[in-house]
Parts: sequence; structure tokens; C-alpha cells
Amino acid sequence: MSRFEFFTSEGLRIDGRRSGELKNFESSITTTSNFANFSRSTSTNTTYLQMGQNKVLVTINGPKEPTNRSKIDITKATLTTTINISKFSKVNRNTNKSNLPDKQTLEWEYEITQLFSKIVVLETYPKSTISINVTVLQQDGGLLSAIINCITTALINNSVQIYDIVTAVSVGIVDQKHFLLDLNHLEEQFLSSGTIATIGGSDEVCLMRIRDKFPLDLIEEFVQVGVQGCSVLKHIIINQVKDMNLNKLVEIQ
Amino acid sequence: MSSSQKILTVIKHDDDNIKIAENLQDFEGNINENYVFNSSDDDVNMKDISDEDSDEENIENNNLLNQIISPGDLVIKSSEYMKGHNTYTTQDTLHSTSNGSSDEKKNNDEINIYSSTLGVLSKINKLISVTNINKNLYQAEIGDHIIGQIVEVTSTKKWKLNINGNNLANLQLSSINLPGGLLRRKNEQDELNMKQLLKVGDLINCEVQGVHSNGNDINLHTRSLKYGKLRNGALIKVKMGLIQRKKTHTHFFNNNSIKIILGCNGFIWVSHEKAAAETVNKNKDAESIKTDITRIEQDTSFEIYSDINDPSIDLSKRILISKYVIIIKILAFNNLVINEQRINAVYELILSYTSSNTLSNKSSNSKEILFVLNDFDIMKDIAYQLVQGEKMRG
Repeated sequence: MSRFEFFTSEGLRIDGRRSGELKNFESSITTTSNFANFSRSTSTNTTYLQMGQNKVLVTINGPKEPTNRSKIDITKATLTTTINISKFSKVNRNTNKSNLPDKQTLEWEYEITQLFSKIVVLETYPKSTISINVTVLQQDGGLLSAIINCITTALINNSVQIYDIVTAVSVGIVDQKHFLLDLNHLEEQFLSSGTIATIGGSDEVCLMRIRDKFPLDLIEEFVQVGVQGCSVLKHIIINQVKDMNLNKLVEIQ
Repeated sequence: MSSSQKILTVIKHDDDNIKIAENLQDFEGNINENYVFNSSDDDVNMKDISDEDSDEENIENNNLLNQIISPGDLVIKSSEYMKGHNTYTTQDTLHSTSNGSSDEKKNNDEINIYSSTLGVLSKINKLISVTNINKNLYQAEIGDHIIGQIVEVTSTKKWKLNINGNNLANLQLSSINLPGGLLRRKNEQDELNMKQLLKVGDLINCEVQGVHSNGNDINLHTRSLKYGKLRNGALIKVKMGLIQRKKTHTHFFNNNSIKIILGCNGFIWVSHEKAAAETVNKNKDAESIKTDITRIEQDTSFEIYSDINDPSIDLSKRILISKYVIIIKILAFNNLVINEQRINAVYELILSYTSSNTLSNKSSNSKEILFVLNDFDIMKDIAYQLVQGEKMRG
């Protein structure tokens, strides 16, 4: 199928992981949040997430009064997403001169807005807007899953009310039988792959995106691998978020 | 979204759950292994920490971690309780999620209360609510003493104020003290002069008069002499939660020369107060009520809406103000709750700090002290001394 051996007979991948093993996952809030915010608005802090070689920054602005009067919804808040993929984030520098986002980014923006407008409890913030700003500093395989995980973490850190945690993971297929979880750059380039997001680590799939040719008979198993990966990731995210906010809890008591 | 619906139907059609269960078992092996790997990694970190600190602290941290509720967690499973802030029930999700994504939750007859934020459980009688850990936005309550900044002057006899909440608050023309006496009726001229009274960017010391519909329409008032436009000072924004609701939010320091207003919404105003005003207050008892009224009229003249700072504030007074600004910064940087006692305690610490560390010629170069205190390490050091001092006193 390709010139690389993606899954050896010993069960190892190119980067030495097992088939169902996730990349290392680290997230943090900006440590200067309580100092640097003296000059800025106190309601925003940045969340940084590193999933393998994906490096994503998310700032959440709001809920706040919309600047544009026409956007006001009396019953609930409106959600907007902007994704900025920096030109130096890939191996080859993006030579596209225009600053407009490409087609894929626009699609992602739309999908993420649709997804999170169901997840955020918008009814609690009437007449206001919540804007999610994503900056991709470095990209590896499964960028969409990293963005979704980072937005979830950022929403929790900014204490925006959400119904449940959304986790996403990318899955690829090797030789029509092996399923690889959480792809890296090379794997994503040469394998047929997709991204799956679930609500709260359960088996409720809330987003699925498939690229390239995809064997339809394998789709069921593909979803199950993704769901399993998401439920593991949920525990990791919860543990990390709790660790991040532990010092604040000590303050309250 | 359409693709996800398809998947849901695929799973539903596949009724023989045995097959899925088998598959799940296949993958569980891998994933468990993976999870163990991750958790063992955490353990290594924990050990590193425990080498520095005591084991007791470690256990304490774990206890605290267990207290934290994350979004989507089941808080309580009973229909007896009422839901409070930051919670939702299964009934709420039924209305909001259009397609039946939550099948299990739907089938249950009793009302389950879920958390929608990261926080700690708080229970008052039958009311279950979750207290937020990251309190970022101000939620108005009637009677709160707050500080707001004017963002907009609308045509409908209102000012819009930024009060660090998710929406702007309203200050109506009828709810401020008009210049020229308390009992004066407002006329059309006042409506035209709105922009002269309070401009965009002005800081207002005010009180919450009313909150309507979900806490998003907030009305403010300044109908008291202690409220009004702020000048002669500096504004500091701190995190919500560092200021607690108290009886009084206005405090005086340094022989009544410094006035600090701790707004409930996380805005703090540090200003210099004229010593003369104090003497007037003292003589007030001797004077008759009649002159008292005339004094009010004088105070509510155009002067209280003036933009110009008091010319008597010279460099030494400015340094005094910025010293108190730094005190509040030190407290906020170390996540310590700001109150009158702590500000006084830190002020004494700063005095001792500058004298013990003979960095410069103490009083003559008081400007340099401000630069010295802006250092992170020194800020942490002072906070450590403060906490130690408080522990000593109990």
C-alpha cells in the first residue's frame, strides 16, 4: 500500500507506540494569568495544549456584550469560532500569500461552532457572545482532535458552563485490518483516516470526519476504536484540569 | 452533524450487543495498558513532589482532588433536591439537544442533577449548587457596592457600564444625583447634558439597584453621597473571588489620607483623600441641619462631575497611592483574599522590608522601592511572611 511499514509484526508503529496508544498529552493555563491581567480584561486566560507534536493555543473571549447589535439573541448566547493556522506550523512553510483561511479551516470552523453550540449551556448567557480563538503553533497528525480537546479544556478553565466534556481522537486504518489511534504526521499522510469526537467519554458520537477513501465495512470497528480512545482521553483531561486548578481550590477553603 | 446521526443509527440497528462487547474487550486490553502507562507517569511526578514536601500534604492534595466536580459529573440522583447555580438536569438536556443523543438519561424517571462546571459541591438545605473554582465573571446581587466603567452613552437616558460581568449594566439618568441639589426635578436640559456629566471611560462608584431576568439586566444607582464619579486615584482589576462581600467596602488607611474602595466585582479604587474633608465631618455635629443641607447642595454641584484631578496631589502623594496599589498587587498575585487587615499587615511588612534590605537611602529614594517591590520573588516572599504572621496569630 505504501513504502512505509506503518505497523510491524511486533505490533509497533513508526514512532514506537502500540496501535491503541495515545500520544503524550499536556495542557496548561498561562501561569501569569493573575498578574498580567491587571492591564487586560480579567475574564480571559489562555489555554495551551500539546498533543504529540500538535501545539495549540485557545483563548475564550466572553461571555460578553456583543459589539454588533444585530448579533444579539434574547434567549441565548451566540458562539463564534476563528481558527488561525500559522504559516510556520507545517514542515514546509505555507507559501500562500493571502491571509485568508483555506477551505479546510473554514469547514473546521463551521463544524466546531456547530458542535460546541450544543455543548455549551448557551441559555445561561442570554444577549451575549462567546468567541473562541484558536491559534495553531505547530501541527502534527490529528490536528482537529487536538483543537477540539483544547477548546474543551479552555471552556472548563474559563468556567463557561458546558453540559459535558467533549474529547476527540483520530483513527487510521492499516492494511484493512489494523486500527491505529491518534495518528502522527506521516501516518495521516499515507493512511485513510478520520476523527471521532464523543460526549463525556460515553459512546455518544457527536462529530465524525473522514478523509480519503474509506472502506465502509470497517466503519463500525473504526468508530469503536475512536470511542475507546475518547473515553481514555476524558480521564486524562479531567485529571489534568483538576491538577491545574488545585491551588485555586486551596484558596477558596 | 448528519454524519454523526448516521453513526448513531448504525449502532442502534446493530442490536446484538454481544458482538460489540467482544470487540470492546479486544480493545480494552490495549487501552488499559495505555492508561496504566499514563497513570504510572503521574506517580513518578507525585513522588518527585513528595520528596520535597511531606507525605501528608500529598494525601491532602488527593483528598482535595476528589472533592472537585468536573462538568458532566452526576452530582446527585434524586428528585427531592432542587438545582442551583452551575447545574443542569436531564430535563434541561431534553429541550436543548434536538436528536436523542442521551438515551440512558432520557429513560430514567427520576431527575438527576449534573454539574456543568468545574467546582465544589455546596448544599443549602435542599438546594444543590456547584461553586465555581475559576470565578471570572461577576454575578450581580442587589445591594452590592461595585465600581464600573462607562462604555456607552445611549440615547435612552442611560449610561452603559462595564462591571466585569457577561453583560453591560445600566445606569439611568434618574438614578444619579443631579448637580445643584438633591430635590431638584430633572428637565430636558439634563438629558442634553448627559455627556457632560459622565463621559465614556469615566469610573463610577455605585450600587446595584436591581437585577432582572437571569441576572443579565442590571440597574445601578448612585443616589448617595458616598457614591459617584471617581477621581484622584488609580484603578486595579483583580480576580473575582479575592474580594468578599462585607458590610463596608470603603476603607481608610495612613491617617485617613488613602481611601480604598474594594468593589464586589473585582475592581479596586485607590485614591487620595483630602484631609480637609475629615475636619468638616468632625465639625458637622456642631452645625445645624440647615447648613448640612447646604453642604449637600455644594457637594452635588458640578464639581463632583469634574474631570480634573485635585491639584494638591504632588509627587509624594502619588508615590503613596502607588505603594497601596502595589500592596494590592502583591495580595492578588499570591491569590490572597484582600481585606483591610491584610492591607495594613502588608504595609508594615513593606516598611520593614525596605529598612532591612538597605537597598537604597530609604525615605529619600522611595520611588526606587516601588521598582524593587515589582519583582516576582519579592512579592512571593512578602506573601509568605504575611501568611506566616497570620498563622502565628491564629
